[in-house]
Amino acid sequence: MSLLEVKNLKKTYTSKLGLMQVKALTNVNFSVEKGEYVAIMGESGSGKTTLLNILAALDRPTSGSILLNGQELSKIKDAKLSAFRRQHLGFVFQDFNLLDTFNNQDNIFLPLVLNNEKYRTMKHKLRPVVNELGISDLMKKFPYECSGGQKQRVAIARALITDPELVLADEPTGALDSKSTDEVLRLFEKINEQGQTILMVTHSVKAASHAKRVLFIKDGSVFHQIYRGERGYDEMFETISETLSLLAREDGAHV
Amino acid sequence: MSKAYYLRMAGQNLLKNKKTYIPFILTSTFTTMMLYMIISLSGNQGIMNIPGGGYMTMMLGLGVVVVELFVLIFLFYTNSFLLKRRKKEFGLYSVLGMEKKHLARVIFYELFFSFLVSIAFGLGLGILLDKLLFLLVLKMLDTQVPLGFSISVKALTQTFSYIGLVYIVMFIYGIVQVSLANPIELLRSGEVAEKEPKAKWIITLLGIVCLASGYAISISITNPITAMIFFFLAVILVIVGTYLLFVSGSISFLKMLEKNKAYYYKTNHFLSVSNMKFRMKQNGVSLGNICILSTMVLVMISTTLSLWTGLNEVVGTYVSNDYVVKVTYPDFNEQDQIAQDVQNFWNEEGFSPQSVRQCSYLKVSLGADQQDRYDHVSFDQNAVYFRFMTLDDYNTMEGTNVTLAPNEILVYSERVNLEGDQLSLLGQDYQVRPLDSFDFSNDTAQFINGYMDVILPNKEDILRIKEKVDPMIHEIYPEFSVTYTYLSGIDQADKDRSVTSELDAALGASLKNVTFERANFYSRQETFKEYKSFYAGFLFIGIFLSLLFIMAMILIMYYKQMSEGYEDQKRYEIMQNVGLDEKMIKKTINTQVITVFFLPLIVAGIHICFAFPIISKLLLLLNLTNTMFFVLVTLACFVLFSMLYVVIYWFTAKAYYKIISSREQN
Repeated sequence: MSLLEVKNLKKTYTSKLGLMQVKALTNVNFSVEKGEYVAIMGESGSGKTTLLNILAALDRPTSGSILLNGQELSKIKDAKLSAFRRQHLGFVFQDFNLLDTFNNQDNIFLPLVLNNEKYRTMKHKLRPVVNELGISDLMKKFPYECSGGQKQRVAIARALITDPELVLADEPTGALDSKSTDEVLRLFEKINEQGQTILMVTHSVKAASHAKRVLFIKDGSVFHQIYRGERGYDEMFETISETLSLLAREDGAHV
Repeated sequence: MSKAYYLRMAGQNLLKNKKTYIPFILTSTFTTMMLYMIISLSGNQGIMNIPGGGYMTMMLGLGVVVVELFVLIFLFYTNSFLLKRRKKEFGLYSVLGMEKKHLARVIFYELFFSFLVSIAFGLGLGILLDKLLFLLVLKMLDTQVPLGFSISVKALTQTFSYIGLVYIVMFIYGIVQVSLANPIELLRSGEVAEKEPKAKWIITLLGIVCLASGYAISISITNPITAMIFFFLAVILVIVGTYLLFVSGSISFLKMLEKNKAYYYKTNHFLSVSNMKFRMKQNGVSLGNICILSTMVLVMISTTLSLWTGLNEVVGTYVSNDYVVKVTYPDFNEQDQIAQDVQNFWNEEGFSPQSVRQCSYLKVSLGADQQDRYDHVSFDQNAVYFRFMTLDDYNTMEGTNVTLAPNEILVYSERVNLEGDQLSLLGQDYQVRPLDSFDFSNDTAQFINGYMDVILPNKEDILRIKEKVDPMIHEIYPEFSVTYTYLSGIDQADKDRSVTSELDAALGASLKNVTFERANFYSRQETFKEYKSFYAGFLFIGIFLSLLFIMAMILIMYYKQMSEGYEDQKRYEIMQNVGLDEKMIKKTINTQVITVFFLPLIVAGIHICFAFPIISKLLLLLNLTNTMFFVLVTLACFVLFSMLYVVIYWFTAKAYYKIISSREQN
């Protein structure tokens, strides 16, 4: 059984007066196996953010089903949804979403504290994650004292510390310079190699070229996918670029 | 670009920032109105012509100074708050190519608009309400109302120029602010993250010391005169302590909580402690302001109201009959002749007494070397005023038939404790029989910390005391000699005779056969009016300033909630993203808002409790001796004020939640 299964997912936004209907997702089907590293690509307005929000349980689909480890996401009650997200999902955002009122360590502890874990357990869990990400000297600092790359690494640590089944990343390199981008992408690969399943939404070809599989979304449905297989980054980069320009050209052909 | 462009731009700015500007303009209008009214009242001839109205006018004059100072500080504070919020906007304009002089012009138009509105509506409302206020003052003074509508030109020009001056100061400040910063700084000023506040233990300690010593002064002082001297010191210490503790103490306290891992890493503590830490850093001063303003309002209202309502009692001790004649004279043997002469005076001047009370006494201020042993003349803070009179006088006056053994005395004491039943007076021991009440026009009641009325068995006892006292007084004040006082008080149906110089002269003439130092005529009703005017002045200023302070408080709270709202908006979003459900977020935010909001009220309550001892001592100086009454008035004021506070909370919290939840609508 796949870790994540998305079937016939639809999302329609209705304007306040009900006069306008916008189909954000028309029909999305895909699945993610355990240990995979999947990138979802698409242009602005293709529906990828909507998809991510639904996967993150921040938004409800109009119809269709999402199974995470066999559990139907839409059947979870609102009251339990937050706890479910905390325990099964990890999040990495473009703008980090770190709280400035906490130092980095407390930011990482946040989901654990919400799960009512003991301080000693938290401390215990913190060490390996922090060492892995190379941020152990940043623990007493505050987010506003750190660079973008450092902040994103802290955010990744926060996503990993609950040992989630799936890490959802929304443009994780979108606010970073190229050096930090490389660093973060390398880290994603490293944690993926250790068995962590990652689903990343991005429109950066470079970021996507590090994934094991790339899904292309267009006009609200999955249009195409590429497996990396044995390809290197550069080769993958080329393939993705070609696919994207093909997509764009077809778009033009419709006109 | 044309001038009209900047004008339109200023107009749009005001519209866009209406949430922050409307309260500012309202405040400005309200203060203008209040300023006009108090200036107009202080120059009102009508009040001046009322008996005792002079006191009122004096109080109002003081009020004008306080209000002017307040207006300056407060409008300036509010305006700088608004400027700070808009720095980013100004930065954007500069980047888009507006020069500083153009920005200055925009600021000018904005302020000018506020000024025009304040002046137009403030003065307009002021003129309308001024009359109402005047009627209120007359009502407080129990005076008939001369009808008519008047506009004080002096008050108009004075208010106009003063408010104008305040606006000019604000304008200059605005220009300085804009020209000091460069565009990039202006643009970023909203984004710079607040640094984590540091715990400043020394400042915290200083705050605790200040507050504790302020409290200690209040609790430890037993003497009204000392109380008066140290009152302001205590007030300053408490104010400084309050600010230090709100700004620094609160952070130190939260830091301490943070160090306790087992406490800190609990879901609800975790979020609130860290948020509060930052919140206290930004709002410590506002909270201090709110706390101090609340305390001031409570103290002002409860004391002035107590004085006002306790007026009957006060005047009752001072002049205990409808009319009183007081004669001071050197020779005790002339008492009978004086009594005769004063009786003639009552008859000749057309008084028709239904009852007469009279007596003579010797008034001395004595100090004790040990408990209940008064052995020397003293004028220091701990001295007690004694009135010595004879048993004969007492029995005649009270219609009693008390007999005393040679060393026995009757004693009525007010605010002085007698430990045993022995009292030693200048070397002579007496057996005390305490009196439950003795009430006869005591003019010493208001000056001192306590007094005793002592009824001695014989005339010789009084002469003996005089003999002992004379050289002692002579040593302190060579010019001064001790005299006896004769008092005659009558009650009658007609209570409207006023104190005139003719009556005083007639009294002097009636006493032609005796030697006397001074002879005066008093009317209870007029004394009452004088006091009333005095206390009405107090009460009026108390209420007037309280209104201003409460308005200031509301505004500070409103702005505080607004700025917190904008900050929490982002925080709220992040927490949701990281996996906090809405209910929990609302709960944490709620607890914090309520804690931060009600902290000043609680601290104000504590301040009032500690201020109580010293203020009740001060009220003794003003003749208010009924402490229980003061307690009740204060309590009632606190309850009412808390209710008002809750209403303000309710309104500002609504604005806050509206901002917080505005994200969801986007």
